[in-house]
Amino acid sequence: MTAQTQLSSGAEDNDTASWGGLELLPGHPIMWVLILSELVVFGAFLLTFSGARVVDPQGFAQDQMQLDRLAGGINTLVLLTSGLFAVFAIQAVNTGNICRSRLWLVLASLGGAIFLIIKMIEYRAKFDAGIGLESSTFFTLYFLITGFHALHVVLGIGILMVVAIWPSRINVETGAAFWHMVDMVWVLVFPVIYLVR
Amino acid sequence: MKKSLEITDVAAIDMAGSCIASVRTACVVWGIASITTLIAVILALGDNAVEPITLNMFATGFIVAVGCIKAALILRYYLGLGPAAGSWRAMFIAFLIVIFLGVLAAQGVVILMTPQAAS
Repeated sequence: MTAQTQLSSGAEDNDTASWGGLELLPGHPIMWVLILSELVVFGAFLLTFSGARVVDPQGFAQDQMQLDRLAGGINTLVLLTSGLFAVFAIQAVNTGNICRSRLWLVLASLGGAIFLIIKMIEYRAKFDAGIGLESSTFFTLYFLITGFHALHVVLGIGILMVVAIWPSRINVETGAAFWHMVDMVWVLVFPVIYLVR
Repeated sequence: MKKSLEITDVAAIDMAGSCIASVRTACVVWGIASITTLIAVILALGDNAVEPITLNMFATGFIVAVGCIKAALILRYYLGLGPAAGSWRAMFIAFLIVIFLGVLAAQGVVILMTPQAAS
């Protein structure tokens, strides 16, 4: 056995080693580690937002009235639909239909792009109204949380596009898992920031 | 042909036993999540409040619970975090419960600070 083969074999052993149950979940276990850490970060953001609201409830309520709830709701529907397309991509790759899987992945990415366009329109309206990052605590947290989420959408689109180029079963499941995490975070962000007042 | 139909209609279960939703189940989950989102947006747009209002605990609990249930549905049926996921599934559910309770507790404090404003 050559040194390179030994190295390769060792890497495979490590990859299939116990991940404490994460290896039982769809996709690569390392993606689940990432998903867990992202959820902790966004959970902390949402709890911080709720905590900051306690300090200045009137200010938060006043600022929240300037948010576009319709745009937030449309974005929720767009991401939910995009997540459904990612499920279809997994189903397609499981049945060996690679072309269809690619198509669903591209459509899921398209959903992400529509989400970003709506988000940009929302941000533009805020900037045009003279609202920025430093306008108030509410808007600092609003731009921080939704901006950080939008960055994940950008990353998710990139991952889905890469997976569409190499659509093996593990790749599609791993990419879709990240996309569903982005989707799941938004369904929590939307009510906390846009609706609760 | 029959086998292909079984794979797509029933859940696709991998060797480890984790379960990714069938097309039909995924569509039902999407329908439930979309309808609840639409209702939430319609209710939010329909209040026509000129002055900022403070929601009562019930309304807040309902809004956040709907969000957490949608997240739980995504976890279960889109991410495939089924019963086989064991304690990991419990951890994710615990995460959602912490968010739910945290937001609700904050709203409780806000209402206590402005009791007459709660509607």
